[in-house]
Formats: sequence, C-alpha cells, structure tokens
Amino acid sequence: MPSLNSFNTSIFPTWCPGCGDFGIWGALKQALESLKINPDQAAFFFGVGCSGNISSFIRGYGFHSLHGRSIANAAGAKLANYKLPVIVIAGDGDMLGEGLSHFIHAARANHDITIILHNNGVFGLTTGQSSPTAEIGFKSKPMPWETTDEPINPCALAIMQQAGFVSRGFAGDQEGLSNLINQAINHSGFSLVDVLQPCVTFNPDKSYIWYRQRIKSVESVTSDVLTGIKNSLWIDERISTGIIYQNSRPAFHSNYPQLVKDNLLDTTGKKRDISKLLNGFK
Amino acid sequence: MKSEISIKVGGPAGAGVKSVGQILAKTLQRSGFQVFEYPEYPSLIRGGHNTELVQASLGEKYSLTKPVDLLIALDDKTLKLDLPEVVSGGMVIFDSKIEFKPSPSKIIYLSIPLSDIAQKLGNPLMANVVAVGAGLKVMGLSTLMTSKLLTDQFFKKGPDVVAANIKALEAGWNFVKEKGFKPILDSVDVKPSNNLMMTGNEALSLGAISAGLGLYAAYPMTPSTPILHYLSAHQQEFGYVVRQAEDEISAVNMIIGAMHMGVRAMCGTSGGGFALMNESLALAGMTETPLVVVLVQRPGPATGLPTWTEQGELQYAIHAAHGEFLKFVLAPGDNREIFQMAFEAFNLAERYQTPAIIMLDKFLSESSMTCGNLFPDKFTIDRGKISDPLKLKRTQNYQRYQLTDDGISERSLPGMEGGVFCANSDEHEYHGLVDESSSMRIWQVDKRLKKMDAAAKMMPGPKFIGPKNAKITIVAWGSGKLAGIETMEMINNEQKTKNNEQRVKNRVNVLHFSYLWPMNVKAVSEALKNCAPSTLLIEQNATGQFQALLKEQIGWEPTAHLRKYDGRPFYAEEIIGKIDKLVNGLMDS
Repeated sequence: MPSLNSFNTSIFPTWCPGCGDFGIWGALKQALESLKINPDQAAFFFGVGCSGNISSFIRGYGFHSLHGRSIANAAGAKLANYKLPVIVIAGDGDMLGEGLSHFIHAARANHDITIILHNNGVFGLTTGQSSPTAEIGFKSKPMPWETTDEPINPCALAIMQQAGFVSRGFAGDQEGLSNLINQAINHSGFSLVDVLQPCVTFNPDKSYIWYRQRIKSVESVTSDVLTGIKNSLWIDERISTGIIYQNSRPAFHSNYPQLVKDNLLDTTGKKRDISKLLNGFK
Repeated sequence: MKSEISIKVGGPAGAGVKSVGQILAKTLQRSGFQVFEYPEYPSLIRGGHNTELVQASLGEKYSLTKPVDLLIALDDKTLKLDLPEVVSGGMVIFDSKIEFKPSPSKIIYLSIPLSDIAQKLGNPLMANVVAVGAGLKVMGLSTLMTSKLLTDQFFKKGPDVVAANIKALEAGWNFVKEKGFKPILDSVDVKPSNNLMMTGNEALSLGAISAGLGLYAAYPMTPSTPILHYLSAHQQEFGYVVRQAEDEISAVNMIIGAMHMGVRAMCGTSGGGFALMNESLALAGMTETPLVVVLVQRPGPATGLPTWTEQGELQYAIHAAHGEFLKFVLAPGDNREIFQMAFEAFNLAERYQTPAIIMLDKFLSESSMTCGNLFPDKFTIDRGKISDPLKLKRTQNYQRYQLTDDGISERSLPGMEGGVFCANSDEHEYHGLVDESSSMRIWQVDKRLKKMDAAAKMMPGPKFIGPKNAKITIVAWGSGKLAGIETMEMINNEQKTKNNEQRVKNRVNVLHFSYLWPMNVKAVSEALKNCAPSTLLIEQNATGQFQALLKEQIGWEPTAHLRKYDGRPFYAEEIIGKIDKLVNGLMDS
C-alpha cells in the first residue's frame, strides 16, 4: 500500500514559496495514494518548465521529456502498455504553445492518458513571458505594452475534439483537486485536469484570492459539446471548476483489434516467423 | 540474340504505367531472370510523365544500365523524352492513337491500337494490359506466366474482370505475332524460381516485423510512405500496431514513449520529417532510450525533388541533434542488407540504449529487386540489459544510470517492481533525478560517451566485393553498392575492342560501406589500405559527404570521385566513363 511519503524523492521541491505547484504536487500524491497506485505502477511523462521540474520530486517511473512533447511520448507509451496508468504533467506554455498540436490530436484520438495541466498564464522558469493562456492586457518583457493575443482555453479545445473527460481544478483546493485527479485517472479515455495555478512571482495579479473570488463548481456534468464549451468559458468574472464535460467514447487503443486481449509489451519483442510474407514476394 | 533485356514503359500518371512495369518485372522474375525495376515519377497524381525501367538478365543483375531494348509508349511524351535511350535494332511499341511519324532509323516501330483493342474488349483502361501482351511477344515470352499473374491480381474483382484482362493480354500478344518479328530474347527456358523480388521499403518492413516490432508511427512522406502502408496491412496478422501520427515530431516521440515502456518501436520518414525529429534524437540520447528511425533520402534542401533520389544526408544524419551522444548510422546497399540492418538496428538501439538510424534513398527504397532469399534464420534478437523482474525486486537501491565499464547500465521497464527511475532530459544522477553538479555532469557525459567507444570497436568494417588483384577499386556507401557492382561486372567481363583497350587491362573491385557511424577507424583504415592502386569514390551528392568523412576520420582520399546530384540514379555507363578517364590519364579530379 502506498503512503504519501512513498512518492517523495530525495529532493524537496525547488519552487518559489507559495507556488501553486505545491498544491498540485500534494493533490497528485493524495490521488495516487487513494487509488492505491504504487510508484512503480504508473508511468509519468513530464513537460519542461517549473511544472516539469516535478519530475525530480515525484517518485515513480518518470520520463522528463522535451518542452511540448510529453503528450506524444505518453500516447506511444499507452499503446505500448495499456495496463499501466499514464499521466502527463506539464504547463500551459509547454502543452498549449510548443505542444498544442499534440494536445488537440491526443484529445481527438481519445488516448487513455491523464493530463494535469499546470495553468498559470505565464512562463515561470524563463522569468515571466506571457504564455498561451495569458489574458489580454498581461505585460511582459517581450511585449512591454500589453498582450493582445486572445488566450487559449484548453478545456474548450478538448471538448471541441470530444475528449473523454474534461475538468478544471484549483491548486488552492488540494482536496477538490485530488478528487478530480482521481476521477480523471479512473476515466478510460483522454482526461484533462486544467489546474488554475497562481504564480506568485511572475503573475502576482492572479493570486489565490483572485481565483477564489471567481471559481464556481459546475452544477452538473454534461456530455453535450455546446453546453460543455459554454461552461468552460471564462465569462462574467466566473470560472467553472469540476468535471465540465464527459463522454463514453472508447479509449484509442481499444480500437485496435490486436489490442483487445493482448498488450504490446507481452506480444512483441520476440522473433517472428515471416515465411508466409516472404512467399508473397516469389 | 541475348539473355538480358531492358524495357522502359512511359505514360502519364494514372495510365497504368506502374502496372505494366510490375507485371513485366514479375513475369521475368518468375521466368528465372534477375530483375531490377526502377520507377520514375513527378510529384503529382494525374498527368506528368511516369516511367518504369525494367531490366532483367538470366545472368546477374545488380543495377541500371542505359540502353533500352524495348520502349512501350502510352503517350506522345514518352516518344519524345525516352526515344534517345532506345538502342539501334531496338523496338518501340506505341498506341496508334498517338500521332507520330517515326523518322528513318534502325529502330523498329510498332503502332498498335492499344486503346481501340481495350475499348472493343469492354474497358479502355485495359490498354496497358494490351501493351503488356504485345511486349511479351516482342521479347519472346508466352502469355502463360502473365495470365496467372493477372488471375491472382484480379481474383477479388471476379471472373469477368479476370477473363477480360486475359483477353486483352492475348489480343496484344496476337497482334504482334501476326507481324512476325524476331523476338529480342533467346528462347527462354522457363523454370520455377524461388528468387524473391521486393522493394527496399518492403525488405525493411520485413526486417522490422521479424525483429519483433511493436509500434510503428509515421507521418506520410515520399519515399518512406510505402513502409507505413506495408506495415499497416499486416499489423493485425502479426499483432503489432501502426499509427499515423499528426506530424513527425509526434511520430518519433510516440516511438520514444513506447521504447521507454519496453516495446520495440520504429518511425520512418524522409529528410524534412527527419529534420523535425532532430531534437527528439537528443532526448533519446540523453535519457538513454533506444530508438529506431528510418531515413529514406530524397534530394533537398527543403521540399527539393520529392520523388527522386539522392544520398545527401549522410553528414546530416551523423551530426543530427544537439549535444554529444552516440547514434548509429547504418546505410544498407541492397535488399538483403536492408533486411539485416532493420533487424540489427533494434538490437543496436536496445543494446546501447540510444538511437539507430537506417538510411535508404528513393532509388533503393522504391525500386524492386530480385534478391535470392533473405535468410531470416541467420538473425537473433538481443534486447540488451533489460532488468530481470525477479532480480530487480530483490535489488536495494536500483540505479538506472549507474556508471559501468562500457557505459551501458541496466534498464528497468515501467511496471517492474523495484525499478523506479526518471528518464530525464535534464542532466541527472544515478536514479535520473536532476543534478547540475560539475562532477555528476562529467561522470554522466563520460558514461554516455563510453558507449560510443565500445560501439565503434564492434562496428564491422567495409566489405570488398570482386577480385582481389584489381587495379581499380570503386568505393561506395549505401545504395552505391548496386551501381558499383554492376559496373565492376561489366568491366571485368568485357571483351577487348579497340575502344576499351586501357579499361579491360584493369580489373575492378568494389569496397562497400554500410556501417557508417560510429566509425571503426581501425577496420576502415585496414580496408582502405587494401584498395587497388587507383580508387574511385562514387556518391549521390554534390559535396562529397562520404569522402569528407573518410578524410576527417582516416585522412584518406580517393584517386578520383564521381558525384551525381540530378535526382537520377547512377547508370553503370556513367561510372565506366569516369573509369575510362582514370585509366587513360585524363583525370579531372
């Protein structure tokens, strides 16, 4: 049985004091403990950034990927061994900037992977440039007046592609977040947990208080795309949290007849007899 | 009368040029010939000018020569563009609907109402089958073997379609019979042959399937796309999975993810897609994750000549990606080597926990070649140092990135008890946790580079082909092997005439390189010392990339070189022309 401590490594997190990443770190460990997943019974794929640095703070089978590519790694990993839970942890800069196409295509395919998106609207590790989710008006060194780009809404994007499970949580609510992560991991298909995460150093305007004043739980889970998209939007100073959209599309790997019973990990890597194929070239 | 033949078929895309080439090639293969079939086509779907060059011999056939004995023209463009290649005494078959008045020459022209005959038989699309029938008769072959082929090919479309195609075939054959030409070939003694014929892309796919492939991911890109199609068609039967990814970056990263989990995986692409994969090669290098990438070259830069051939990415493949790490670059020269290296690439990638790149080119990957057998029994799977789950369970403090003598450390797989680690793209300590200290950086760099030394020492050297006491050695890499051997055979079997006196005095052999990187300097130096007094290095690029590599690594330079970069493959005559200059002292380089 795993305990919270079994997910700790020899390195204590190097995030700024008060960083929202601490809440996500705690919620993730709590979810894994409640699901009774041991550190060696899941595969984690990390992006690059402050969030990706969690790769050295979570004990488990980790893969600290390149900036933007962790979802693609995870999609291949799930096809390779669909028996292990596959969890992706990356930030909004990573996953919605450089890695945006992987995000959309993985949602479209409905790969059975869980995505924990550290969404703080800023590039923290490179000291505060605007990220794809930065709101209009955000000021940063590369754009000294203010950002005019419309922010990306990851939940709306995922719902558009009818991803299996789309949710939003808050790093300041560790209990609620761990519950969402738990359900996301349990969902068979693409599951997104978009985590509102304060960056106290480079995006101090969006503080814990700022979020608390705006977040509100969705009333009910919908499987209707239009309702889901509507609920995912940040409108009227209101940000919905909880499971925003869920459907029962089959997970991507289950579409392959050869994977119905067998796991690639067990059936491949052994020498095959190809004499039948060779006869076709006579 | 002769025992070898060269046929060229030309027409617009969509006219069935490829079918004519394939049916003729298959007929010749099954009649006991060695066959080489080379397709040329521009990057479009309808129109343009497509050709199939089918060359066959009852002796050996390695690669292309220039002369065409029989030209089958399905359009007027073929009569304009390809006519100069037809030999004196050769034959041209063309559709009577083409307005064409041959000028007087020693070429025999045969106007056949291909379209009209097909139309009368119910389907104008069968004009190309009528052409095949006519071609068979001109060569001196019966329709027997070909009828069987057509029966197999159209079996699924029903007996009516089969019957109509066989009628079209016979109509073409009978049309020529009535004209009473002397056949080009000696009477062919058809004997069943077990000789396999396939493309390089197919040989590569077979190697991967045999080696226990688990996942293939790719984004379509000529000339690597046929691998995606062939592997996909057989995935259910063999239990592996094929996935068309959203781009090449995704393809390579899916493969890295699968390999990390312990599943043999491969991706394939051409130069542009390979460029997109570059950063991820470094990811595999740093995390010590095995990776197999197929790079099928075509002429660049950028989109270049998408459907043509070049060996322009050797230096690029060797140096691809940022940072210093071991990668293997393998460049097989024929179908047997392609099969072997596809198999071997998985072993190397897993044994050394690093990327392995297999380089083909359009010429090698899309040409169909007879290759005897592939001998899959000769190869065994080596998965390297993967942890034994039972031992791992009892191991205290397992270290994925432990320092070892050869730099290779034990690899646990996600799900194995007691093997937790982080495959970290950041510099890391023994468990994979981030570590930026000076000492750990040096230890881990040295660990990874030790693998390079170990690998270089075991890389096989180049191979000599042909006589030992040669006066000239043709030095080639990758697909250059085939053109090299074809040239060698032509020169060494030549009868002396007044034009080739200098040449026939010089016997030729070939030195072929397929294990390119890391370079086994000792084995390569040794081989180069055993070259003939004169050497000619042939390669299909403009800057002499392999020559530069040999100079850099060994300090060796050839007597002369021949470089081709017009997108067309080497023809033996071009290499012979260069050798003539060499032996007559008319060297220009």
